Amino acid sequence: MTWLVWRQHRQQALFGVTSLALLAAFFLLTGAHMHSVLDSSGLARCLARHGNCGDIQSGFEQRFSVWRGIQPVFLVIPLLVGLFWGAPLIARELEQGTHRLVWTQGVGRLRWLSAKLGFVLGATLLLAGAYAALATWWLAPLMTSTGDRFQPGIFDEQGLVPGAYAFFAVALGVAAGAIVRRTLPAMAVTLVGFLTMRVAVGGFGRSHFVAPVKVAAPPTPSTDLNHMGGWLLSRQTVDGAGHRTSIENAYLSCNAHVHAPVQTVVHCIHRMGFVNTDVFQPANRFWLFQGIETALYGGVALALLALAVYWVDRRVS
Amino acid sequence: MSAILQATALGKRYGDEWALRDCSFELPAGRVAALVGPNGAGKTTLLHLAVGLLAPTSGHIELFGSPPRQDRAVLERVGFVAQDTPLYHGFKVEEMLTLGRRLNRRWDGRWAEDRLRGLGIPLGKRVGALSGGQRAQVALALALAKRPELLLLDEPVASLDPLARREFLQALMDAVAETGISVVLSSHLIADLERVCDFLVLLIASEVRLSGDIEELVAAHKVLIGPRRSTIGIPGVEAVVQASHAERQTTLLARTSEPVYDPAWTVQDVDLEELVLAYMGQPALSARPMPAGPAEANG
Amino acid sequence: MIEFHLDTRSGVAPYLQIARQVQQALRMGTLQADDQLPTVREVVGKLAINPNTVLKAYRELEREGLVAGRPGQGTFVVGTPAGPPPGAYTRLRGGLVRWLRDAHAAGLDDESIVAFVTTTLRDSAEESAA
Repeated sequence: MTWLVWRQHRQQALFGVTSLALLAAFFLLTGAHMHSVLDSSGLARCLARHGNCGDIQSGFEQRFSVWRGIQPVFLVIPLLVGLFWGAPLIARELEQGTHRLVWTQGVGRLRWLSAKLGFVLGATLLLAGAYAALATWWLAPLMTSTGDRFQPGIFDEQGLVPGAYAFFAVALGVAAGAIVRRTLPAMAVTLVGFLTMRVAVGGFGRSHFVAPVKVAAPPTPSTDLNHMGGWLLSRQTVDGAGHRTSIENAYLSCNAHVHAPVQTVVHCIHRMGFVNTDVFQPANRFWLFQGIETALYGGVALALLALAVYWVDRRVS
Repeated sequence: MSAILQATALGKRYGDEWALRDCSFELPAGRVAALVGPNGAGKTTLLHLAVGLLAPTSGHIELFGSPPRQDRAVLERVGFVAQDTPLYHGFKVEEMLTLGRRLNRRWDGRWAEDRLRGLGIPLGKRVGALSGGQRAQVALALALAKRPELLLLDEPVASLDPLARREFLQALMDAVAETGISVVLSSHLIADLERVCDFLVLLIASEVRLSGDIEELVAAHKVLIGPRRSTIGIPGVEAVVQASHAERQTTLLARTSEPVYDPAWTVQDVDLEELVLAYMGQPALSARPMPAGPAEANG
Repeated sequence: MIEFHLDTRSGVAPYLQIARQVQQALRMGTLQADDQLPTVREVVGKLAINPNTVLKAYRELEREGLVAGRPGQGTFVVGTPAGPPPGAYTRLRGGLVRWLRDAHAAGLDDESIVAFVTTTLRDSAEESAA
């Protein structure tokens, strides 16, 4: 089986490795540059000192705004793996009838399937893992500056989850291919299923993995309103009378400006009864959430693989 | 002789429809069997059940005494070529042979290479670039290189031109002569198979209507022609397969258990094609010319 | 080496056709004693027929004492069929060709000729039996 699996998938493997190599070259070249500027611009030192780095930050982020703009493109990668590695795996054999050739040799269909799955899933995890490591490193300088890493869309491209998405996409493709039996429709099912899951989990589910932290306090300049590296889910500011307002209004009402004495502003805000309620996920939960989402996608993927195995064993002829 | 393939009340249902229903027959070893029936009769289903691609809904099927789906050792003794001879079109011919060598325990690659070279099929050519006849030969070589004891072929010559068809059957008969292998060939045309097969399984509407040694079956059926009359209770006739009544003449195709001595009937032999057509309910007797009546014979 | 051909529409069983072609070849002298008949594989590879058919034909010939199998070597001619001496056919052929020309000139087509010959054969057999 090893020979057959390699012979059938060598083009895919080559394509995957080449793409990864190109991506790696891009990441390494541009990332090295960003890492060095983070240092040479003094931003790293400034942030480490917890100073007021606003100017350097905007300068840094402005300089690399192109990469920030490009960054969402990489969200597609796990889907592409599922479409081109997962969907055709079983569907192509069924479509062309070659399963009737290869399942009537000395090797049974389950051994055949496990060899194919082993190779494709293994390659997926390897390549996706390498990609995720590179992407995390590449994004790090921008994350240090913006504190955006927990944000939807950026959370999805770092750490463990890209590998989990790719694993899930391939499992979905394989199951779809086994049931639908034709490559193009299986790809369509994979596309719809993948997007649905990603939107459902990323858009709605993720914020509820762990009950968010709720902090209600008067919005003074010393309050941490940035939640650097965390994920602000909602913010509500009310005035003394309970009417909805904004933090800007609170500051305006208290004549807060750059040269105003801080204590005066603080007293004013307390006196006027402004309260700001932030619901957020703190930064230190980033890896916890990565783990939960990975386990969630992994669990669904395993269920889909079990379905595919059952279908091939029992239902396909 | 022990049966190499045995079906007992074999049935396969898809939803509400039975693709195969209550099929029973025994194929002795060393035969070339024709599996014949109109399209949709269940020939492919039967072959897929025999080779373990499908599981029966009812009844059972055994090859060499074992059920093919449970016992993988059975698959090593059976060669199978599915309809439309599936092959990996992107592979070279020699890569298809490598596939066979890697996936099968018993494999005579040298024999397969020699055979294909002898047929003028270049081993380095892509399967997709071969002609239909050449692909069929590659598929046959792949199935035979396993050194199987039984070979199952699903409509192997249906889409081949007459020359390729002849060459395929020549290659197949050569293999039978060389190794004594048993073969089951399915087709919806009996003409293809008459000179090659010595055993018949006739599938009509998902059921086995007839099975047995072709010589015995043909000897056991006769065409009776006589003056128009009832077809019930004719001595010697076990069953009437098909009857055709003209104004003054009755023509029957009947299964006979003993010779028919009644002088009113003219008794003629059947050939296989007439027999099969009659069982299929097709007009098989209408082409028969009126025999010389008593007056003319003495003329 | 004799080459066989099959007429699938003749109504005669294939094995009989093969046996008769061997008998005919022996009568005509194209097959002689100690000549080897084609192996089963050779016949089958040419005609695409069931090997049992060839085996049956050769067994029939063996039964008639015309051929014998030599283990490890093949099937060989050992006898000649009872029948007219080889020259008889050559001698009769000339007269037959002339008669056929007459029959065609008289307006008989091939089918009528065959029917005429068959009926006359039958009639003369009945006459000599009577």
